[in-house]
Amino acid sequence: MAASEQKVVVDADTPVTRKSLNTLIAYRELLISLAVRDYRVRFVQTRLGYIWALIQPLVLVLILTVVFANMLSVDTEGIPYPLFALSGQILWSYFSFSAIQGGQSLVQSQHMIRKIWFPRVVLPFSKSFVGIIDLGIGSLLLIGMMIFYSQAPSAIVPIFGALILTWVAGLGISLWTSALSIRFRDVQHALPYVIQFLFFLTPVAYPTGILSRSLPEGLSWIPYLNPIAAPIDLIRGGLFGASSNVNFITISALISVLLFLSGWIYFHRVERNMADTL
Amino acid sequence: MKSQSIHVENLGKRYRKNSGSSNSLLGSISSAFSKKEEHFWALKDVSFDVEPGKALGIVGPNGAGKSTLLKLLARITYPTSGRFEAYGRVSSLLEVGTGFHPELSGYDNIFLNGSILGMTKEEIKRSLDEIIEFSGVENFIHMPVKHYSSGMKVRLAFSVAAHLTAEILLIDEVLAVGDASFQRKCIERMEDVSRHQGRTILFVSHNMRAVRDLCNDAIYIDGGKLIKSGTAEEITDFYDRSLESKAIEIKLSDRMDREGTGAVKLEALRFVDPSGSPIKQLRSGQDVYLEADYEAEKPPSGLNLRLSIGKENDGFISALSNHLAGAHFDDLPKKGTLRCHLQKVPFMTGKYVVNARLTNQNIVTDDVKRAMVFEVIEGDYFESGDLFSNRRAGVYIDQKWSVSDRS
Repeated sequence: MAASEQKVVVDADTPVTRKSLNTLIAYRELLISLAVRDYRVRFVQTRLGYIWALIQPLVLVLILTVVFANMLSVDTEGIPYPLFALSGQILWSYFSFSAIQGGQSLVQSQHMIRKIWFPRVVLPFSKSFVGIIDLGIGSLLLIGMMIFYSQAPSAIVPIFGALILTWVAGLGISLWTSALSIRFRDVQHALPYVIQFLFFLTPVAYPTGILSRSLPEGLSWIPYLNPIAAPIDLIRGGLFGASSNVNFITISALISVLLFLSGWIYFHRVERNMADTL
Repeated sequence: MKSQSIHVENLGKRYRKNSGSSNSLLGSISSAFSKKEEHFWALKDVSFDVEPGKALGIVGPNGAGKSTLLKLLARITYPTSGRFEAYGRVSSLLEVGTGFHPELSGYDNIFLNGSILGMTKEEIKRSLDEIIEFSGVENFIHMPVKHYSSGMKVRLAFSVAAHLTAEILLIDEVLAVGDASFQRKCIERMEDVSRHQGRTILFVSHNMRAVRDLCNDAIYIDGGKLIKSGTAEEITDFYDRSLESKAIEIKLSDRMDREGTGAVKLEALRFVDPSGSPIKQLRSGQDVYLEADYEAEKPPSGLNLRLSIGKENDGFISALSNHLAGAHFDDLPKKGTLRCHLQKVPFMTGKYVVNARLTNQNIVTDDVKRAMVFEVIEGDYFESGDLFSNRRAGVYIDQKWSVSDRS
């Protein structure tokens, strides 16, 4: 058996982040098991079951349409407003799900952390996979509405870029917040609020241009400090050919990647003593 | 084949003493100012080797660092110093049923729990039938675990753990949940795993009998240090002796871990023979006196001494009490000795622990756990010449037998 060749060496003096990616890959089955568990128990004892995953984006888009399209008459450069809002909304809800759920994942599973070893990073990662199913359901809804409005996507690559960047951004936040919340439970309480505030600064219900134009000339890049701004611009570019600023998108994407990498490093630095601090 | 399965070298773990306050942002800011961080070593400079297929017992008093050692080897926490190497996969059974989800069926939980414990899906599938059979919950396997009784949950969880394929198993005492027969089943299964499947087992326990049964070798840990290593037999004897010497070393009057008002305190407890000289070892059927010295702030009246006698670790067997026996003492001296005459020591061969409690007019004035430990050797209680030779703690019951003719 190949497994018997396995050798585990633990040395108090080894550097922290060595081989952490390999370990995560080796534990992919656990990651998937946990994600499947979360998804299966989510709608247990509900009448509507998975339909809830459809209702949520539908209702939100309906409200946004009434408020922003009908009452405030937001200019979406000719894109039908429900399509415009839904495209932003599915990415946003995936991002916020993986950030909040992932951020709380370690404290939530503390009984496991105290009792057995496994790469702790599996927990926030598994949450980011749970969200993918909702994202898929939202995407089906979006495709249906695209057909209804007889719209065809103008480019595929930016759409994929948007999906990957959303994943990276959500994980970047959840890696940081989950690791921090082990020492500071405050993070756990603050996170949902911060994400909620961020929603208003994120161009889900309105185009990014509105934010940038409201700022003085040299400061119009500021809305792109938001890691989720780039994916939303990208998906709208890919789906509807909406105009966007490449430099600004790069800023936002870089922030996502930085958050992710620094979060990965910080997470593994504190990983060793998680069971002691919890 | 490697000559060792686990190689531990100078392993140590240091904890912060006052880590409780820094769980919030404010707490950590305030503790950053106070700057009086105290450290202690839960484990220090521990080295040992375990050969493949062997079972090593880890024994020692509470808080000695046994569980810390297991946690380090299980990689739940990281060492502060030293290193260890383990050849093969390490699985820990520090708690069975970790990650069980109440909403999922028993069947789904087998897979979930298995993958948490480090098994692949293929491995779980291979032993699935065996797992379900061993657990004895076949009929409910597709029912959500939340509808299981706690016994069913434990059985299912254990049978997943018992079929783990890891080469090295770390078992903490918590495994010994459930009733005695289930514990027995667990130990048997573990013996099978180590003897016939060539896996290495590290076993932490306070149950010396289980250690002797299951382990080849053992180590004794106290105060975070490895004190002694040897065969399971040697180490468990050493453990038994060290417990006794601890009880003897500390005089009852010096014990600080006592409860009660302190108005009347127990100073000493001892067995003496009819001539008044102390006895170290009792014999079943022997004529002895139990003497209890007390000291009171003012002359007590209505004093009751209650001695609960039981087995090591747990298990109440019997009690001695002057009120129970109908002896009420009023107007006692401030310092005195209560004397209890046992015409025939009723205890069977074994070791007994005495918890003592003094009450004065129904107010607990003193309460000492493990006030005395004594050993009873085999004796002819009934003077029948027939000995009940069994190393089991218990009491003889006076009995008279007769026979009548029914024809």
